[in-house]
Amino acid sequence: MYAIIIGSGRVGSALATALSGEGNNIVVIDSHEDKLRRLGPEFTGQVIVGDGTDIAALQEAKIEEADALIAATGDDNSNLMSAQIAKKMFSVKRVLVRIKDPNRVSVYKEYDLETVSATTLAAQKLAEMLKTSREIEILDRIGNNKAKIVKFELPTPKTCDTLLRMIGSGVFNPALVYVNGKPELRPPDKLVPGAIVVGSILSEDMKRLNRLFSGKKS
Amino acid sequence: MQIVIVGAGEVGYSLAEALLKNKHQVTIIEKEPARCNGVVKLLNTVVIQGDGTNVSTLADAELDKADILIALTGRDQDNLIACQLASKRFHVPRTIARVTRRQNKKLFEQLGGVDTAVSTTEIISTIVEEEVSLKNIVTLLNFKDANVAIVEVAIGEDSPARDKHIVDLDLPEDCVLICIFRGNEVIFPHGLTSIKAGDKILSVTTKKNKTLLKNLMISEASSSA
Repeated sequence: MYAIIIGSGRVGSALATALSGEGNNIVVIDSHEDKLRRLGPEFTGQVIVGDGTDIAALQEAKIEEADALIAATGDDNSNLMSAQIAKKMFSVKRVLVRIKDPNRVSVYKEYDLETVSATTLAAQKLAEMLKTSREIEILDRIGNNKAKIVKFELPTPKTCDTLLRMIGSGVFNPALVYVNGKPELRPPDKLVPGAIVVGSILSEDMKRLNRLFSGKKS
Repeated sequence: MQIVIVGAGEVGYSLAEALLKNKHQVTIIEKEPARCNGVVKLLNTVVIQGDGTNVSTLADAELDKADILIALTGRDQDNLIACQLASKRFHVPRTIARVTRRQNKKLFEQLGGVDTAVSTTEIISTIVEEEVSLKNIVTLLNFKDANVAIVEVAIGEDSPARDKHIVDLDLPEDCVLICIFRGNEVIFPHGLTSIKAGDKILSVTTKKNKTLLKNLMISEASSSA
């Protein structure tokens, strides 16, 4: 994949380094030369000192050939402008935009931009962490967060029995049980403390899963 | 009219002053508190301290009731987003954005949400270019779409048109002399009117013919001086 990343701040440089390390062809544009030095040694792509809202700089980055553009500066307005240029003037297939203020995002639906608000993501994550036992890790959310994929370790024999009952009544659907260093894909008929379980559950039933851990002495 | 101006720099401030004189209602949005205080002291109008690309600040400025939003900050991207939010979120019927980078004028009008983009660089360079190339011809009025201008030509002692009849000048067809100012006199010229040193001639011409008019009326020595 050939991708242009605008902004070499913490987000942009980490993303560029990761994508470049996976073998993608990456160009990073930043108006501050010193920020481009944040790119790690794994970064093998190209850098351009320039303004990502300037068509000339984007052309220097060969935007006509890009599969994706990621506008990742800390400035919402610059990101939205670069993204619109990429989409409307150069028809770049995937245009991702980092946004701080989610309020201005709704206006840009018609522009076919994909936006990510770190503020919204962090708030959602923190709220969810607070509602979920520390022992449960949420791996993914499905269908507008109607269901979740979770991972946890069973602490006691009692929790093993409770979980088996939840599996039996269809509340929890196990996908993988990892016990004694061996992953087991078949539904378990027995569970032991120390087993790591991955499975799916409806969000409305999360309380029952949380209760597995609330009884445990801390 | 209800007009919202984003950015109270020099351009924003003087525009607000002119609009208020013409009895328009003006609301100004400015980020810098110090600038806001300055404007409040000098102009009798509503000043909101905040970011003009922030939806809630724009709502505070009652943008839904505005007829025009004019974005005049020094940052092109901020002006673009202010106009787009105004037009798409608040349905403001007209938006105008200032651009500092010349090529953004065309770009902004293509991206949508900006009705008119004004490049100060382009305006100034056009004026200066005219001043330099067409000495002794002053453009009084440009008609943007018709590509026609009203100009005033000063006739010097060494003008090639001096003491000639107008009919003998070989004026191009799309160039009309409107009147001649001679001292306190105003002369409506015809073919046999002769041109004198010290005359000021008002004429309508296509922009292309400005140079031709200059060659007929002004000696090379004085136009290159």
